[in-house]
Amino acid sequence: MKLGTRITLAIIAVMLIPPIVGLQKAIDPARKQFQPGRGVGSVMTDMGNNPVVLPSQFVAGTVIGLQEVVAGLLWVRTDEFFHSGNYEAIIPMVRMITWLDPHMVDVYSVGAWHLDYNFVDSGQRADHRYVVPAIKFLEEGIANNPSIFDLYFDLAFVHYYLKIGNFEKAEEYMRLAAKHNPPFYVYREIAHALEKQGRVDDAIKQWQECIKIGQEELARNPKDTGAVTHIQVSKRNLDSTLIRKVERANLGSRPTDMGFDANFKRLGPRQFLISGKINVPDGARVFLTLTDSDYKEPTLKNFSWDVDTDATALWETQIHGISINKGKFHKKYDLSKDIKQYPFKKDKYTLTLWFDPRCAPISAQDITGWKGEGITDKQYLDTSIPGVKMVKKVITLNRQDIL
Amino acid sequence: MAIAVKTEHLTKTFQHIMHKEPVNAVSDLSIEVQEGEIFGFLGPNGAGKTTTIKILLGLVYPTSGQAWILDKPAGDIETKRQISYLPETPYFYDYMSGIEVLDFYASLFGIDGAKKRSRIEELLKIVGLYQDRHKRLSQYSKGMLQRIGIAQALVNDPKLLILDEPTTGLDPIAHSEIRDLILKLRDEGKTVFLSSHQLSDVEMVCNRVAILNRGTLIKTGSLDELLLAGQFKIEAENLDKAMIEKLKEVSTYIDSKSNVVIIEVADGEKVNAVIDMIRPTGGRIISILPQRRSLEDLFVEIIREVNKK
Amino acid sequence: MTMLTIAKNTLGEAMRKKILNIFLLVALAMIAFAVSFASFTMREELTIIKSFGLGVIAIAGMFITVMLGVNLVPQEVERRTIYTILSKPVRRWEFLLGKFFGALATILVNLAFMAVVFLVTVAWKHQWQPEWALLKGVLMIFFQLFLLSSVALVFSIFTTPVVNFFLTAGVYIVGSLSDVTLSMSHGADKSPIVKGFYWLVHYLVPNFANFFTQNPLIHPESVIKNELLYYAQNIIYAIIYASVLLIIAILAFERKDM
Ligand SMILES: Nc1ncnc2c1ncn2[C@@H]1O[C@H](COP(=O)(O)OP(=O)(O)O)[C@@H](O)[C@H]1O
Ligand SMILES: [Mg+2]
Repeated sequence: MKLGTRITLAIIAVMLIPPIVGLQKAIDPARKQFQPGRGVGSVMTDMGNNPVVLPSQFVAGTVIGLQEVVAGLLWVRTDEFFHSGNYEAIIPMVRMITWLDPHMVDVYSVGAWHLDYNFVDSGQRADHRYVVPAIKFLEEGIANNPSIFDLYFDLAFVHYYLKIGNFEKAEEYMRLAAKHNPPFYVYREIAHALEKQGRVDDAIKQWQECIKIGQEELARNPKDTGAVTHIQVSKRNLDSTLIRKVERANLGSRPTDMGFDANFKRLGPRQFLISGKINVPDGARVFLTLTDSDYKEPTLKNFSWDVDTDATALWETQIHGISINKGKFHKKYDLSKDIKQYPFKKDKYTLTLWFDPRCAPISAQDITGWKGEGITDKQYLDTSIPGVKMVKKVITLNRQDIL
Repeated sequence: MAIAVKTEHLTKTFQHIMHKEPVNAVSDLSIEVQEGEIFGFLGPNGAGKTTTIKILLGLVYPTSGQAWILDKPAGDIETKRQISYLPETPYFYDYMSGIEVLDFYASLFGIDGAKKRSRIEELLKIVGLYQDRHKRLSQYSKGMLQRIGIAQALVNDPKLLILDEPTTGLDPIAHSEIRDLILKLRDEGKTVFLSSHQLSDVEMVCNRVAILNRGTLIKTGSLDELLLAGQFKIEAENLDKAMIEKLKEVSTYIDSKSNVVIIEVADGEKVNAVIDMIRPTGGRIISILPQRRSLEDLFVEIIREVNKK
Repeated sequence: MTMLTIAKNTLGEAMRKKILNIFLLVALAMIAFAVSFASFTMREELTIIKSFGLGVIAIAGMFITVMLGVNLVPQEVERRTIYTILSKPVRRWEFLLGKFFGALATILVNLAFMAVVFLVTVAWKHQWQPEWALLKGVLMIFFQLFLLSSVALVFSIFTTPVVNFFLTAGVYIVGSLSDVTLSMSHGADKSPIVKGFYWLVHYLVPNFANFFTQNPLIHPESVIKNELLYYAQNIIYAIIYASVLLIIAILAFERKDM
């Protein structure tokens, strides 16, 4: 090769270096969307009070592009924490996993479910402190997966509707889910969420909407058996709602006396019996909270992944509530096994027992009405929520009453 | 006649990182090889033969000096169409069969199609590997590998062949086969540049040789010149003691144990001097024989002489 | 044309190499093994298989490339086959590029084998719907390895295969950590020397992380802006960078004593 050729080649090589730098500068900002979970910055921050350090073989895996696999393996390991009820360890684990693969939708839904439902092998507990982290976690999942319906609906139905009983929020998120190509049942659950709010006319409109959506789908795809079923169910529900609207219209003029009362009896250290009576049909539940008297419900606004480890907040609402059997209810509590969950470190405690007709099953609502129109009680009637009537008893306890 | 190979003050110094001393593999080498010659390039191991050959082929760049092949600077790409090279203990892709290897090398010359096929068959027959052409090279013996090496060197029907120690490590039969092949090439009018440290090959086939030691050229010339140079053996009778003493001064060797004294002298003039000395004293000269030394002797003699210095 | 002959020969030899075949077989087995991940839901399972498959293809491809690249030229020198070749009318750069493209063809064949197994595995798990989009990921891996093999080629002219193995692997790792190098090259709290150092590393070390594009492939629902532009930029990046490396290799090889 001639000297001249060699010099020319060398010059070309040098001149190609600025384009390399330029291309890299163009590539860098776009890269994130192709490689989620690769920023080192985010792993250090925002991991709650138990930051997880990835074992080195996992780090090696993430470097060469296997972070989704690593996330999958960590998810399998997280299972252990679910079984042992170590919720404080779950938060950093699931956050690590979803950092590695922010599209693991099931990790968001199962992780959040474990957090606020608090199922452990020994039975179910209802520790209220993890409700807000669960919601936050799902909101993060939604932000990372905004184009699929799954997590909107999960937050709406599993958490706001079933767990928390916040039907306004449930409706809001169901409507968001409905925008992202959802299955038919999402439209039907919107109607149920409206009924639970007592918005009967809106619910009727939603049932009609459901039928319309089913028929449109059937026009497009006549073989869709799912649409056929959906239309049948919606029609039946529409009829029932129309009938109930008429039946329940005059409940307020002949209210039923609930005859509500509830008692606390200590059985031993951290063991107690709740019992009482209420005049509603079987299947309905009485709700209970036992919290520090100064317990402040965490809000989404002043949120932190670190749960208050000194706080006690037993929160038996919705499915955790005490079932009513022939006008009576009672349940034994043994919290001595869960000292970490229910530390009882404060001096004063507030025990609240109540019945909320909005969360009651249909048979109960036929007596109480959607929002308690048909309720009255000599002692414990509560009307602190505008437009809603319920019965509620508040008992103040000292620490030694429980320990 | 045209010049096939030429070097002028060729020098190559290797600077090895591990050693402090640089190695002068070739120093100030000037040689010329005429077309049609079988040129023997001689020297013990480490003399710089392979290095010189690599410079000629453009595989190694000289530190100073110049080299030409077929009147073009060493390494010229077009010249390479007319030359070929068989390296010292060559290795070929041993997962290939004989026919595949030759096919590969023929393709490098741009030989294609039917021409390639017939050329390869011809070569396999020349080197006697036609029967084994589909065998993998990993199953070839050393001699067969050397023959495939020669076949690849003949692919382009070269004007000049450069063979680096082609007989090293071969058994006597393979040895003589190679020698016959070289003679056949000479008959075809090809130029052969043959490097060797085994003199017996060179002696029987070469016209001219150059002798190299530690990178420097020691002697170059036609074989006759080199081997004849100065060796005469004179046999004489009837010489007295004084005469023998006198003769010792001009001769290189005297054997006076028997009646017939053997006197060896270095050149023709000394022969005359000896005759002039013996004749007047009544001595009788029986025979005068020009003494053709073996190349082996010459080689050993030269190397020993040089190493003494 | 001589370049093509050498490339073909390189491919032919490489495909017979046991070590490369073993890597290939292991990779194929591992992709198939991914199918046995069972403790996940359908969607997760598909995600894991895709991620795992692409990861295994990338790693196996990386090893094949490095093993191939570090030996490509030194082996020809060591067994002296280079002498017979370069004494024929073959220019040194023709030889070098011939070897390089032969290696590239080998990588391509290996990737193709793995891609087929991968696609079939995914399709099998997905009601036999072929996901051709995954080939985009394999294409990006190919260009990553294209760049990596030119790195190995340059080093192979200056160093021994063993040293080269670690050098090339080191460059690969540094070039895969570009999120670290990028974030270290910014920020007010760092000293200018540290920032300058990481700037150089980030922009001048071949950036292998660019070529990991699994997210949209593993999660087809994710929304990507200017996808084609990104792929095009990466391919151009690989070609330009490899050209620079090949020029360096050619220039160094040109003056080297064999
Ligand atoms: N690449 C090299 N690096 C360093 N020294 C070398 C190299 N090649 C040859 N030499 C040295 O140069 C001298 C001549 O070697 P060589 O040309 O192979 O001799 P010959 O072929 O006559 O046996 C030897 O001392 C050898 O060690
Ligand atoms: Mg030699």
